[in-house]
Amino acid sequence: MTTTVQGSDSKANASKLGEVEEKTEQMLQRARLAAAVFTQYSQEQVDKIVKAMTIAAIEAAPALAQQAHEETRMGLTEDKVLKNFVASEFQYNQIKNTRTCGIVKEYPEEDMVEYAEPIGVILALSPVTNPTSTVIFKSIACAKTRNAIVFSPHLMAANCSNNAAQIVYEAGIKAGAPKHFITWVEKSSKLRKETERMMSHPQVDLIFATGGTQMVRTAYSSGKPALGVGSGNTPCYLHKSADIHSSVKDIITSKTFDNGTECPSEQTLVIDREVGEQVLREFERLGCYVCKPEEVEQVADAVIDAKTGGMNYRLVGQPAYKIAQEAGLDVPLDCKIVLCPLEGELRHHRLAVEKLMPVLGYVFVDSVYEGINRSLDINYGGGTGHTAGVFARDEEVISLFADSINAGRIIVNCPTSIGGLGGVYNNLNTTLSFGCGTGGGNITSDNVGIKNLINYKKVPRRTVYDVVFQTTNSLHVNPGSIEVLSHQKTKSAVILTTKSADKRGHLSAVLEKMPEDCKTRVYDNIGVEPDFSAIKAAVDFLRATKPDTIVALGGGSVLDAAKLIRLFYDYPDMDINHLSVAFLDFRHRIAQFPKSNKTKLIAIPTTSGTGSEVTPFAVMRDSEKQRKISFVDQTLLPDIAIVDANLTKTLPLTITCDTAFDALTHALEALVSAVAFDYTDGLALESMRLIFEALPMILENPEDIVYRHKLHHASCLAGMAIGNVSVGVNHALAHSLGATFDVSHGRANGVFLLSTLDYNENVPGKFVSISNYHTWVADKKYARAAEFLGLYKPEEGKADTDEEVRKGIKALKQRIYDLGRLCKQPLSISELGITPEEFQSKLPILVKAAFEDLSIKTNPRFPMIEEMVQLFVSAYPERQPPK
Amino acid sequence: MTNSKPHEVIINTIRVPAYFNGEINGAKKFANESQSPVLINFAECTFITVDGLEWLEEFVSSVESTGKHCRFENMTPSIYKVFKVARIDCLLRSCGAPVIPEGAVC
Repeated sequence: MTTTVQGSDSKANASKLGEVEEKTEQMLQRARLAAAVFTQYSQEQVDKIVKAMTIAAIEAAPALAQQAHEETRMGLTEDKVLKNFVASEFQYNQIKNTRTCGIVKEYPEEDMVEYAEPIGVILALSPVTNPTSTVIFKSIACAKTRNAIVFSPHLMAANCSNNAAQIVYEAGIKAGAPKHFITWVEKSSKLRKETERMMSHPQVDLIFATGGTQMVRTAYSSGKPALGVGSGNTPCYLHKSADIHSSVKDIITSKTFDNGTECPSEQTLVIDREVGEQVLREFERLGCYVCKPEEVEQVADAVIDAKTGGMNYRLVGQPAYKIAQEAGLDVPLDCKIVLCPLEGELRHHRLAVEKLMPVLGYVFVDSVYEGINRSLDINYGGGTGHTAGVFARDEEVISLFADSINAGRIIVNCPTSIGGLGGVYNNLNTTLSFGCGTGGGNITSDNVGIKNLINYKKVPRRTVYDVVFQTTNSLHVNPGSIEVLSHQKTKSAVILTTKSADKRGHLSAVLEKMPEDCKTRVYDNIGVEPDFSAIKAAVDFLRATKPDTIVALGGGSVLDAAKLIRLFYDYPDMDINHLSVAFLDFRHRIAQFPKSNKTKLIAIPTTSGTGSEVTPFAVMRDSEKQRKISFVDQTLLPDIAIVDANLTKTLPLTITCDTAFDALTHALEALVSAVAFDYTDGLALESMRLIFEALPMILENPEDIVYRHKLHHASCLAGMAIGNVSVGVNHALAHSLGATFDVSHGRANGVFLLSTLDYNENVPGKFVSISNYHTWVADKKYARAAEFLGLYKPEEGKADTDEEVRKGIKALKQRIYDLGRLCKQPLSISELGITPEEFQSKLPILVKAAFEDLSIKTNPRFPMIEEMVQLFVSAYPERQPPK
Repeated sequence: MTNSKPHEVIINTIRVPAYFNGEINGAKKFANESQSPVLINFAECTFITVDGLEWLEEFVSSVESTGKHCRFENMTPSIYKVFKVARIDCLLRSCGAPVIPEGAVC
């Protein structure tokens, strides 16, 4: 059987290869098929295979340990048995209930699930220090994750490693695993070269490298994704608060484990001087040898390779007695560890490196800071990101140590070698591969395990945001309803208003209704479209008078200003710059408003336009930058709104028309807002109907309270609509124009209305990129509005056809045009008296400000910058009747 | 296996069993006697083993060596994915899938 590698002819290649290489090709191709077949396995099938492999590994643990020791002459058979158990029994215990097929994790709160995707073919290197346990560990981990694994053993441990692989493979096959799911490279003189060739082989998906530094480096430079491990140099800080007896016992247990071959094992002890002698005596009592200063060089000569400055590999995993003998020291045969004081500059000491043998350096320190700093010297001296240990009862010391040291595992009050393996002394993931993070040149700092052998496929569902309708708590809407002021529970109130309120008699009407026992003061310095200095002046007035209630009496500017005045009065530390930071999505914005208000705000509109009494918005002029700043938050909503049409009876007709066109803009923009919903649609439609009905009548009879009442309601209903679904591009254009040419808000809105309808009725060049915008229906909604207003009747059964929709939109535009002309309302920029030269010179500024305006975010069509230019340009010439 | 003759076009269909572990009796003889394309129907197949994959590769290669070609039909995504992961050119050709170039392609 031959298998073609993508983009190559394997038969032709094979013919050019030698016998060893051909075997490798065949092995990788078989592993590829096994990986493909493995994708079909269920969790139950996988778990059955994993259990069978684990049992086989446990049964073979002693024999494999003995074989490993005999082949490598490193470590201790007894400890290698334990490692084999850790790799099988302990790992199995940790992973047996972990899902690795299909859905592996659910995130109900995020409405998201995660599926597992196998990696494919994994090339695994196994080291000489843990030749059988690593193979057991990786084989079981790969089976659990449905990956095929190809082992490249260390040449000095190939027989025992491959034997371990064969034992777990056969058990897996009996339990139903795919043929060739575990394969291994036979021992040969070409083994290393073959391994390097496989590292860049197209059939290999991942390299799982545990081994010598050089091999790990080669893996990383192969161009394949690689899970490698860094070298270790574990510092261990023994703080004076530690239990000395148990700490020393643990360190001995750790450092003598498999004769020190475990890379997380302690390399240098950093001991508080206060307990230093006690610690050393305890080491001696338990059978360790503490070198005299003059003996240290002898040990270093034996233990350290003079050429490389690293450990002498000949002594790796050898007993302490043998090492001492090599160093010319006379120690008992059963000596457990040789301890060496590291005097002088620690960072340059020859023994301050990794020594995978029972040789320990030590230094004394005089403070916690010095202890941690010397630990950092060791940590960064060849073991960055690997392992560190601390023995202490003082939690602050442990915390400072953990925060300072750069290690993937910081082992507390237990042996670092066995502790690092995980699952024995702590709940770390069981592993024989220690990720060291970027400090060690690795992609992970984990105890590498099954979670690193899976591709995770996240499946997020479309977010459905909670749709809430919010408005002012209490609305009093009849003519004469300012009467409710007399029932308010307030002892001290400030009326925020303009000077014109007095002239129009509104102020006296309100003062008359204030409760008798309420001390009421008036602040009438709120100008037209106030800036922050005006807001601050009003706040200062409030701080001097300390009211429990604010009554805002006036048009939109006064009401908006009052919302901000209350905010800064209640919360003096609020930063206006933070509150007005722009946002893409309201729900993710940076601005943090307070959750509640302290002072009651009663809003009494005296114009029928902004609907500010029921909106969570406030717009403020930024005098410095010639722009308007918008604030949005539910806490800006007034507590009470009094929509009393009596207060609008004397409103001049010009202002009546300007503000009515503002309300009409609100209704039209809310209707087609990208976040509009049924509740706001109803409000917008009824608002339009009232405006079209009332405004012409008011022009004829300005003091007709019935139509003033209807227009006042229209403004409030449209305000509720935009208060929940915001406005659109018309407002962005109007804000920009108004700030640049000092045009009142309602009037500025009016000049763009027909241009934005022209713009929004066409299929967008770009849709609004917000998650809860499901369909584009702006054109149909305009037509529906025309039908609702009785402006046209679609042919039966054809209401949604393009032809009928166009008719409806035309009828709506005609109605707006007619109303505008009836009111003598400017319907274009030129009709405002702005010359072409003025307009052209300001066009770039106008476009920039409009594009940065928050209002465009909910427009059904996302305006590109060039479209924004066209919107301004198309709104300039005198407005002609709609075509 | 079915053999019909509508409009003088011979349709050959080899049905792959639910658990496909290699070798479909008579398939090679059938393919030899049939016209191209040789249709291989996976409608019932829910699992393919390594032996099954190896047999398919050999079978398709042998059909292609006679100048005919095979066409796989009615594969479930799970079976199609096995072919994708296995990366065997002749099987992917039979699926009508493009041969995947080596390495990542954006």
